[in-house]
Amino acid sequence: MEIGSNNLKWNGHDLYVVEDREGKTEASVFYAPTLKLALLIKNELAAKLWSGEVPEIIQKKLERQLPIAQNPIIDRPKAFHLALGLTKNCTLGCLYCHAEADKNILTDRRLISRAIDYAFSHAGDTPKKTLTVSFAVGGEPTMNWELFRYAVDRIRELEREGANGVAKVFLSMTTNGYYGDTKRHYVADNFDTLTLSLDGFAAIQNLHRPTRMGHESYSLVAETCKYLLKSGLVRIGLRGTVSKESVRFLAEIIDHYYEEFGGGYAVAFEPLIQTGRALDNRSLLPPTNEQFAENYWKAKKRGEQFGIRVVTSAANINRLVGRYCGAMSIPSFTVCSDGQITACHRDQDATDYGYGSIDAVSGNVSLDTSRIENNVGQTEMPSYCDSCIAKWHCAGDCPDLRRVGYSRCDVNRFLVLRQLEDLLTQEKGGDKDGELQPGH
Amino acid sequence: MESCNQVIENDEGAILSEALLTFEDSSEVNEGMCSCVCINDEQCCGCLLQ
Repeated sequence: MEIGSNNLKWNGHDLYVVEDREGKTEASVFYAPTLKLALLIKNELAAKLWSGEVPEIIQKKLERQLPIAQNPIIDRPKAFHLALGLTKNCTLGCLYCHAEADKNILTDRRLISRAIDYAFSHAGDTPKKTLTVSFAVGGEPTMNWELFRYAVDRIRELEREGANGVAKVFLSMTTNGYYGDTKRHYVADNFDTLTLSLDGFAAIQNLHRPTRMGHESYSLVAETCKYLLKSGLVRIGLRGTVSKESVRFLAEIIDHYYEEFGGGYAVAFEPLIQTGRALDNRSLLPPTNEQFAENYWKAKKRGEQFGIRVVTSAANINRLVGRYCGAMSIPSFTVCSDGQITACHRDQDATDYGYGSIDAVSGNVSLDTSRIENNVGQTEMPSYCDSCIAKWHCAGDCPDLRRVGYSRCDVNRFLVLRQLEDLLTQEKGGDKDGELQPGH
Repeated sequence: MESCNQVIENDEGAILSEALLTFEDSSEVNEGMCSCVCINDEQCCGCLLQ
């Protein structure tokens, strides 16, 4: 799956030509991302580019594109994001849980209240006067229902009051969906977007994500999925962790979802990363990059048939970006159970990206600007990205993946190239899921 | 990414097809959380939130 690409510069813009190392085809892909141009060219022309020459017929096309060139997004987002860690506990006992969420630790209600007040006071100063809130650090947000409701009700109340000039609040969370109608109803009523963790059909879900008692979880989570989709009140995405056991079934999982839930939503597949509980659990291993990329692509194409948008992080060819992570670069005001503030939603103890603290009693917030800048620095692209065709689409990928020594550069290059090839080889090309639209 | 894709017959046949691409507006992306392929823009997609 190794994909080599050559990087040239033309008027400050990156040009890439992808090597057909095996000589299987007569054509190569040429890509000028910031000039918004992709070409399928004969290998003779590609050879000239490989030698460093930009042939005149290509130069003419580049010159035509110059007036509409688009710069990648490099500026830090001007937004305020609050993430609340309500618990370190969970109803499920997933074999790979990054948070190892089985601890009876709850966050102080006063801490939640102070953090919400702080968020509103700062979100009112952002250009769009919006506040985005997620419940994404630690355990299952709905685990302590009373505290969860307190936080959500308080946020919606302040929004209605227009506190500190905040015009709109977006609420989102990653949830395991292992609950009944009362919670489903409240969640559907109050949230704008939800990421529902579901790894596949029953055999896979129950293998990966059993209850804490070791029982099956699929039935209840699937019912939650149906309920939320039927409600039409909240935007849903399903997030599936892919293991060596499940990787070969990704397309069948999409078939199953369509049969069970219909279409009209997104499914994100992410490879299992050996972190948290997955470090100790050797019965469930990650897929290889090659297995993931090839099976993900099959699933993506299957999704196109059913109106299911299949995505994975990093290989995003819908955007040109110079920084991968908004959470690290805003930074996200992520409140851990003990009042520490971190940028990354995975960092439940603020050990890796912590940059401050908030006091539950006084509400005093202490921030370390040098640590904030250090976090922002980690979102900058590594120099090895320069020659990569996926450079402006993954921007070096997740900084935390790099920290734990995990690389999926091969996957990113494979998927960017496949998507370009797809466009270039279909006469009326384009995906049917809204990402890649046919032109004329 | 949007594209209009057309087969080019000129250029002595050296260019077989061409796709003109359109990317998302940067000002919209800047209001969101992640640069990556999120399910939504309002929260971190959770690359490691497994």
